Amino acid sequence: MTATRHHAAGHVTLPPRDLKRSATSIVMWGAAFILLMLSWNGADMRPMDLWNDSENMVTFADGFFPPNFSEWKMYVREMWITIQIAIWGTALAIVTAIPFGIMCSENVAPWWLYQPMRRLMDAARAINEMVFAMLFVVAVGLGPFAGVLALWIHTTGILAKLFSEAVEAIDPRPVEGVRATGATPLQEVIYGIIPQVLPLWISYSLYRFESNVRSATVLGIVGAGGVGMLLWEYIRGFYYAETAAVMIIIVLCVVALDVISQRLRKMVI
Amino acid sequence: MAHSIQVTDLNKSFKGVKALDGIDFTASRGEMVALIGASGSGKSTLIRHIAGLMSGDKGAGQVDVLGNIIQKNGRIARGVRRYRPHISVIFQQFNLVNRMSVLQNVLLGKLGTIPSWRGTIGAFTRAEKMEAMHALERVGMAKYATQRASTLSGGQQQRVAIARALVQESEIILADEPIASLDPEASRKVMESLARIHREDGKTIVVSLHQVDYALKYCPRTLALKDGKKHYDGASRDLSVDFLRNLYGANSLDMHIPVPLEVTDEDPIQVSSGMFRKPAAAFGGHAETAMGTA
Repeated sequence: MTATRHHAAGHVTLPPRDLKRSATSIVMWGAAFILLMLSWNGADMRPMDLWNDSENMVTFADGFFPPNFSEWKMYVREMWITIQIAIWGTALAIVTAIPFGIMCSENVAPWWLYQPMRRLMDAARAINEMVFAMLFVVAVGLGPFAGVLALWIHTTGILAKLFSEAVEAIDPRPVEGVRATGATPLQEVIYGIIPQVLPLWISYSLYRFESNVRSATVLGIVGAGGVGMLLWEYIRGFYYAETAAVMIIIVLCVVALDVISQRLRKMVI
Repeated sequence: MAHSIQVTDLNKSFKGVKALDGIDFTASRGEMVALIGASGSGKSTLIRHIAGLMSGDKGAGQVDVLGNIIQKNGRIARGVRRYRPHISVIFQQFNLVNRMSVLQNVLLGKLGTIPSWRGTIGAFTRAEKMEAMHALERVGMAKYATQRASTLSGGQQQRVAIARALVQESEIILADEPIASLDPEASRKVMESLARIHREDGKTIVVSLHQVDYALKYCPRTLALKDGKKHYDGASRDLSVDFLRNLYGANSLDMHIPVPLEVTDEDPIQVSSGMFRKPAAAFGGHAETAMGTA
């Protein structure tokens, strides 16, 4: 038997080319190319300017060096405020996204609940946190609190969607097992669903925290507190050496938080 | 004797195909009934209807458990949650919460009978925890109490599920193919646990089984379903090879029909281990034997 198989191996040929797949692939690449070309004018693409204005840019870039760290204590303090904005914005969003996420799941909620809830979450997601920040600055005044509120609303929209996707992917059998004991619907969620989705939920929340630190660094531009405010002042005042120092601090903090949060996410999954 | 389970003219169709066709069935208190039939004959569907997890077709049909209406005319009764604690369900796939400990899983059996706020925040009393430990002890799983359910083998998980059913202190246990995904040794342990509970606690047990020999060994009464219709309802010992061949029809290869069908109390049918070790191979060889005797 083994001998026959070895013998047969000599006659193996390659499978024929799948023409349909090759054609599809050419069409897809062509479509992508056409889309890029159509967007050329709209995006005002001027690659030659990079070359023509290169001297200007060198002069401009020169201004950034060497970075001026003389006020580094203030930068770090502002950066810490930014991180605190992200912490509170994310924490509030997690708390609200849990019930909203469950209400958005079609295997838990009835259609008349999950349809409007999903649209509401779409709205919270569709509008950028900068826009919310501008609105909240008007409502609650300049400062970090406006930033917290902006992150809260926007992140609730995102997390509720991610949370509900996790809930929709659960194994329904443990839920039925809990239901069969005579549990209330709330208990079905607590014991049947939450234990199954918790690792994913934690992972999503940490990921959103990372993203929120990045978002919070620019919220200051519209007056919602943190390091962004500082950054905006320096750029507008042509203090490029100071701008460079602030940017370096932002990069270092974001990288450090990304690394920590990635470690944590690996631990829970 | 009072009826424990009463099913009257129950019908259920899935996309026009009758899964249950005019089923009438009653079980008295303290009976242990086997539910047999080929795959797709309606065994699981019937159990899920009795448990109130699924509703029948509109127009007719009623399920009463312990004198309470579970469903009627295709509608599950409004207060069914109050009756669910009286009915424990054991599932083929155990339906444990994988990421919780064995003890926590067993405690879930208490949810239907303790104040709902306590169940919701998970504040189980010491007495309830002790009761859960005793239930685990009875199925031989006490030493695994702190382990996560996902770390156990299939047979062990099923015994935990039985412990969960025990703390529910229900009068009725419905077991839906509890041993279908288990190896012979685990199957035997699970069936022994169920039989012991039946004997010691006098609970009504309805167990759907894929292996006829287990039905004959552990259950005095058998209800056989074929294409959603009641095909046989009576003493398990009166079942004949011919009858079983007819019951399973073309699917008879699907089944474990025991070779020696004469059941006596002194000589319960021995489950030959060779028959199960390699199910795929054993099915064919076994079916040949069964056909040869006819």
